[in-house]
Amino acid sequence: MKHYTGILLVVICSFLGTAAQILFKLSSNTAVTEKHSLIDTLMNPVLIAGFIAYGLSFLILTIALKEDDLSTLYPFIGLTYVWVSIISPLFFPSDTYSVLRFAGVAAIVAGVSFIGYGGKAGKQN
Amino acid sequence: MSPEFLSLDTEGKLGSKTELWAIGLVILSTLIGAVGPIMLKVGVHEIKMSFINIIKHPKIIFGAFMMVVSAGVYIMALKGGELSVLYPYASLSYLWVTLISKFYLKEEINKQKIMGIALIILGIVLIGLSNK
Repeated sequence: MKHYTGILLVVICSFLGTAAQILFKLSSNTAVTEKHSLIDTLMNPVLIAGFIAYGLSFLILTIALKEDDLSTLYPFIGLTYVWVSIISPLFFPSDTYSVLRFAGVAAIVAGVSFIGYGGKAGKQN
Repeated sequence: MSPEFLSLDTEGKLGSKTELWAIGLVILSTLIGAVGPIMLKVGVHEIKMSFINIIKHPKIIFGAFMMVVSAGVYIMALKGGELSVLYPYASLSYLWVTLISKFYLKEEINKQKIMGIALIILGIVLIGLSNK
């Protein structure tokens, strides 16, 4: 189990990164108008929640990097693309699913699986 | 710059032209961004783990700073073209981090890791194309 601590932490980072991106997009629909000043825009609670998610993700990534090689852990951040691709159309009706998008999702999932396997194999040698 | 280049549609995507400088900026942002995790990795092994030690370590602060600069450059680049064209270039950060891990951090890069990185980049390219 200890073997996978770093990877699990980075998967959590990818969840938080996904939350941040969705929150940023949600805030951009309302925040950036000519009527609002820069201060109003930055004080938008949804935007602030997005920044907090990124901050947490940063801290957890740092903790994770103590557990394993960077070349094993960093690629797992790529899972953010997978979660965003799946979740985004649920929040934004103009964002749709497509065969191409699922092919991309499948390739990334296969890619991180290879990395996880390669990282483990590398440790045992 | 043509007028449609300046016009935002409802999706926040820009007109059909993707300028060369925008691609250059995205590549620059991936190079700057790759410094971030490298600094975190080097820094985290120099501290005793605690919240305070993480946020006050100069290398970790520098890494965070580079990640923020990278995001800023990326957002600037997005003003110069289509997301579907620029997205794939953003995936280069995975290549840079892997190369720096090998040559600077002396980590072992085996066939599975190379295959994995290639698939992740392919996946991001496909997702980028699906945004068209």
